[in-house]
Amino acid sequence: MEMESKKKRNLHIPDDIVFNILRRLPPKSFARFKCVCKSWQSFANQHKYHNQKLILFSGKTIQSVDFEADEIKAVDLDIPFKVSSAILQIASCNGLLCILTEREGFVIWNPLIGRYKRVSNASEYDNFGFWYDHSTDNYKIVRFMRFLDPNSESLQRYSAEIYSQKGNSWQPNEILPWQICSILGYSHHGNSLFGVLVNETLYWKIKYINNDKKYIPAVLCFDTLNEKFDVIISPVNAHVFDLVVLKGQLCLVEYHKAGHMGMWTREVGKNQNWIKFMNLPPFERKSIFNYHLLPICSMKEDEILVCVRQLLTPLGFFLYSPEAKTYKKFHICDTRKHLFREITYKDSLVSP
Amino acid sequence: MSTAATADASSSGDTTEGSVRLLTLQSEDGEVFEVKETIATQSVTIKGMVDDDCATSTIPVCNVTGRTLAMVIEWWNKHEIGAVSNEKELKEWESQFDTIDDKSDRDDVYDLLMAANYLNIPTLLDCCTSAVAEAIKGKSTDEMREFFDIKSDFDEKEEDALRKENQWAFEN
Repeated sequence: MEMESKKKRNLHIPDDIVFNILRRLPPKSFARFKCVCKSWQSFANQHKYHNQKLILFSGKTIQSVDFEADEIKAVDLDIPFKVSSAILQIASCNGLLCILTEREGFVIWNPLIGRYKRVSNASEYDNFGFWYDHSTDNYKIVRFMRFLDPNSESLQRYSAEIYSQKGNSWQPNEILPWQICSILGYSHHGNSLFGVLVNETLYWKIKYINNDKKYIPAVLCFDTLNEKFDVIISPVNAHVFDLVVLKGQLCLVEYHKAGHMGMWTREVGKNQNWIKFMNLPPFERKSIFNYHLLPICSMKEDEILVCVRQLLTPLGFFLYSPEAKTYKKFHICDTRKHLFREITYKDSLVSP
Repeated sequence: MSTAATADASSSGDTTEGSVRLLTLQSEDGEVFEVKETIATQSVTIKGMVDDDCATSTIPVCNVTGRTLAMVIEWWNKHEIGAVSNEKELKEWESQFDTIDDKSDRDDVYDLLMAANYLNIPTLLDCCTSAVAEAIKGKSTDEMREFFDIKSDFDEKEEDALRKENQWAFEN
């Protein structure tokens, strides 16, 4: 018995156990073992890390905050490419950051593995969406451009073009219906240029012209699997709102003048009606004109991380507890004092 | 890792109690173990057999040697509710599984891993998986192929390109 077990044996471990082992490895080992064989490579590329991170950016700097770390602090990321003009906006998807700069177009960057790729972009485009197409292992960007159309009610329309990494070029997609008269990104605060990505669908806030020729706030959605657009009307009376992702669901944050916020999500199933699942009380009992609160993500014990701003200046992060109905300060060390914006992010080993 | 397992599980259990049912497990190589049902049902597979009333006669544990089964039973005994008074002590005992130093350790962990998988013992599977991950994290790709007995299915060009793409992971 003893002797037998000491002989050299071949280890045939079932795939599910091997993958269970691999997923416990630090990212660096995991990335190295992509080169072992094809099935490991494909497993690594599909693997999702679950650690929620925050990316803060302002000017030419990008910081990352790891919520799982012992000390919650913002760490400056080493940017391996030249950024000669201010970063306008960043979107994230599947571990990749899609960074839009003023003069240099897009850079798609995986900060974990350090690889990046530049994508050219003419500057006259209004709004964007960034996603990862798992079926073809391909990341894509959609961009919208406004053009004059004398026949439409608002005298303008949007056309959409899609960039794919594999094709490395922009291709015309479709002309959007004339009823869509302005595309606004997800936040009414600051200049958000990207749609919000939830469950393979991108969402933008839009102004929509209804049958009575009234301009109403609505949501433009883009099913990235079928690459088709659709319009959802926003909940009744929700005129000022942001779109965010909470617990993997699209959430519409409706701002009331008095300062409280209604949190809406869409029902699962056929009807997909908007339902309000929570109310957030005003911050410091002040009205919407004093503070702007943007929910960022859900944290432990159902708390919601919120970034609070006064005019454009970030006052910092707070945790809202739905149980206690209070906001408490969430301190992140070493954040830049000046204007920053934030997005959520998760690591991956995908190479741009 | 210690391999001196307390195979004779029944000596620690009080058979005179009468209410404690004993299960008979037989390893692949014919060793027979009597184990308290309350302990053995830490295995989801055995629990299923007990629940379906299929555990009345000797339960054959195929693919698991007596030596490994003894280690599994030692694990069960330690993890029986109330067997170890505090979490810290249990963690310390478990830590012997965390390090895989030489070949025999590797084989022990491999055997335990396969047994934990076959018998479906989540706590043991979790511990062995972590142990292997800890043991392999510093290895090169060639060492990994040897460890897991895998042949590369990349051609030279593909592997070069992939290495270049993941260069950061090969730097110290």
